[in-house]
Amino acid sequence: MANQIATHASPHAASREVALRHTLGRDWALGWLFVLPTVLIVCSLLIYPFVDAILLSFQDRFIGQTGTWVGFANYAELLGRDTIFVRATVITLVITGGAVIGKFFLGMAMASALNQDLPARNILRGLMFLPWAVPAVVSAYVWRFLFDTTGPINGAIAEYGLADDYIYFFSDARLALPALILVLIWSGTPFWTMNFLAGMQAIGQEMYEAAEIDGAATFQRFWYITLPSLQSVIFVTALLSTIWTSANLTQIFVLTGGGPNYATTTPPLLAYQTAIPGHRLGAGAAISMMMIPFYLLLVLFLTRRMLKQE
Amino acid sequence: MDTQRSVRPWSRRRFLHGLGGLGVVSVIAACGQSSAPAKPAGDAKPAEGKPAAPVAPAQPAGAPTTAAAAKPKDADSLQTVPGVFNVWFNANWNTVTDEKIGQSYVAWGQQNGIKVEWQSIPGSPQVLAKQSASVAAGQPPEITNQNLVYWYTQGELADLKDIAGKFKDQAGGMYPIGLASLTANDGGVFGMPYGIDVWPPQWRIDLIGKVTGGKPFETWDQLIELGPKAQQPPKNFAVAFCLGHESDTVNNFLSVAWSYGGRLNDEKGVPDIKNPANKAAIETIARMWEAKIIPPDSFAQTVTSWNNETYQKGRGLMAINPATIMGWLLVNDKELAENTGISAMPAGPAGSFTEGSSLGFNYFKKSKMADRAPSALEHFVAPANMNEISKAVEGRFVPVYRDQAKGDFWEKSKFAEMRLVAETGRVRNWPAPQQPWLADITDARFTVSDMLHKVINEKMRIEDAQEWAQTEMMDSYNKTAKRA
Repeated sequence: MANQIATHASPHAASREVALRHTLGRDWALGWLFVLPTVLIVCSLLIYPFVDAILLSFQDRFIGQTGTWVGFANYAELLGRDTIFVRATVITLVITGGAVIGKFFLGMAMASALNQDLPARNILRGLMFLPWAVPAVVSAYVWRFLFDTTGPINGAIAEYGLADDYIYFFSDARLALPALILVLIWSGTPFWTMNFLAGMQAIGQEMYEAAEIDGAATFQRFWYITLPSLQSVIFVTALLSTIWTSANLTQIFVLTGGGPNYATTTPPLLAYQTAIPGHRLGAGAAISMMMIPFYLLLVLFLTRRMLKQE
Repeated sequence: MDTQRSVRPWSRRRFLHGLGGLGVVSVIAACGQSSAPAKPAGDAKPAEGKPAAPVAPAQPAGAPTTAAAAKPKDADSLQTVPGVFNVWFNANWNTVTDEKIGQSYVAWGQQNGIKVEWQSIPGSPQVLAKQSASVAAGQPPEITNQNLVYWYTQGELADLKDIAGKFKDQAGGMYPIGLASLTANDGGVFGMPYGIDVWPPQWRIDLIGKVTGGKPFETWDQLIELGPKAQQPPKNFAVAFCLGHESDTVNNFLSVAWSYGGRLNDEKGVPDIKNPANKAAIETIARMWEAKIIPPDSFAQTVTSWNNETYQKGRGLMAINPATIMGWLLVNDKELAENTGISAMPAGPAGSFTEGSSLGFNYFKKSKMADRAPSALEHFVAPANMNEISKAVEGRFVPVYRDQAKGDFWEKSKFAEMRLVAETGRVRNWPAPQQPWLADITDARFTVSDMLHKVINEKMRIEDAQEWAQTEMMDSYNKTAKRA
């Protein structure tokens, strides 16, 4: 009987293996072995912390202590009327919107210029990428120095009597946000320029020549040929830049620390301040989790667009 | 097709198998590597000549000073205990003090075969963030000197009653505030005192003296009245009064509040920011702002110790701060140091009061070398060792032992005021002992700064701002009490 079962099971197992091979490929076992490290890394460094953060966001947990389950209390606290989180979200939208629009126009202008036959074009292209290459902390400290009350800008104001008072770029609540957006535009523009330039170089020259013969002016050629041809590049660059700008922590931390009085506090900074110096790990995790739907939406759009291109 | 395959030296499958095998071999090799000695014994040659002098880097604001280079070359060869003994402390804003403190622990480590690494971290919010991250990760440093009462009440720091008992009567005895400010509600000692930190006004004799007849401002009203005459805005302002998100804001506020009979909490340590006497103090601070004698960037959060920098750059004619300003000037700007005086706090209707507290070290009980830490602390606070440190850093803090605060320097020089504060100063949580919730409102929630912002910038009624701050502080109080 046992033999009978064995002889019956054997062809069944073999056929299952064949089916498996058919679905997963002939070298599926070895293939999975190679994929395994990636799977382990993704699980341990992405999925586990993510799930842990979700669980943490439902707890009242302090550093060094065990947590207690509080349900949606951390979320409810964030969504109260006029909370810092609500303000921080609005500020993030302003920063992201301002910076992305600024980077778009500046990036397009720089790419258009660098796409021309300029003398020393390669050197100019190299220089243009410098703000992108410099570590964010370094560039932030340079900007902090430039805008400081003892920096060169305010130094010139004092020296030449250009104004009655210094310009308090990062300490005046009305100026801190525009100053921060300016720095973000400066450091992010090279990425846009690089993408636009690559896109422009892929546009066939004959299209411009044909348009020129038809009497199209420079702006018309840009409007009717360059811009439509860059549509995909603009979309992908804008999405990536939106994700990076809204999640920016380094420059805000160094330049304004979220101040003055929360004028530049964004959810990532608030999450850090709540969780680490504030010791409220659960509340900090809830702030991070509140941003997830926004990022999921962006990533979804981005992925769909990129897959469509493939 | 088959023929083609037979002539191929490598099939895809063979290639994958080979690659897999190579990977496995590499992993095994890598594992084997880690168990091999990190360095051949011969590499640990003795240092040539005298050990390298400790070099702490110049201190840019916001960057911790570490002692990676502070260890003599042969320290590794003397190391008999595995691991590193970490010491973290709040920056003293002059490298001499930081190095002296750090080197004292390094010397202890060398005597005991332990590798010691120290870090001086600028800004107490930064220290709290770093401590918090390390505790959360289960890797706290061995020794620290910041937020002691907070971590003590969370059960992270040791009770040092026994060590304190050994030293409190030595070298003329410790100043009473030395131990009192490091004693918790439960009677436990949460820090081994090594210096009395006082917060006197440091002021410009040359510029303020011109309008006051050579004296510091004696009252807050006088500061508001004469300050505009002494300053030259926007180049400089009468007082670098802290209003932003940093711990000095709490001290600066209390320096005014106490002089009007106000306080942060009651005798039991329960928040009392809504105390009516605080209202007059807030009004006075608002008057200072309206008189434009405070630099407009005071609400900034861009630097870790705004009032230090503002005074040191010459933008503030007076700053209420520990003598870290004077300590920095003595090393970096002798001319400004000459023109800087240390005085009593301007008075209000209730008198003149200056904050005093004790600088102390403690150890994290869950740190890797916690068992060695008491020995390190005893070495550090031994009177002979402390005398050497105090002499080298004269002026940064008042020595904790009375006998060491004698002589012309402490009795006749401009630093004599500091010695007086060591005798009479109030701890921040006066009339109660130090409270665990203080760190939360000082370095994490910045409640006092936000309260002043609401009054000054948002024009909120003072009573409403006090009520708001009271709620915030009670939240901190309750949460900390729940965890304690």
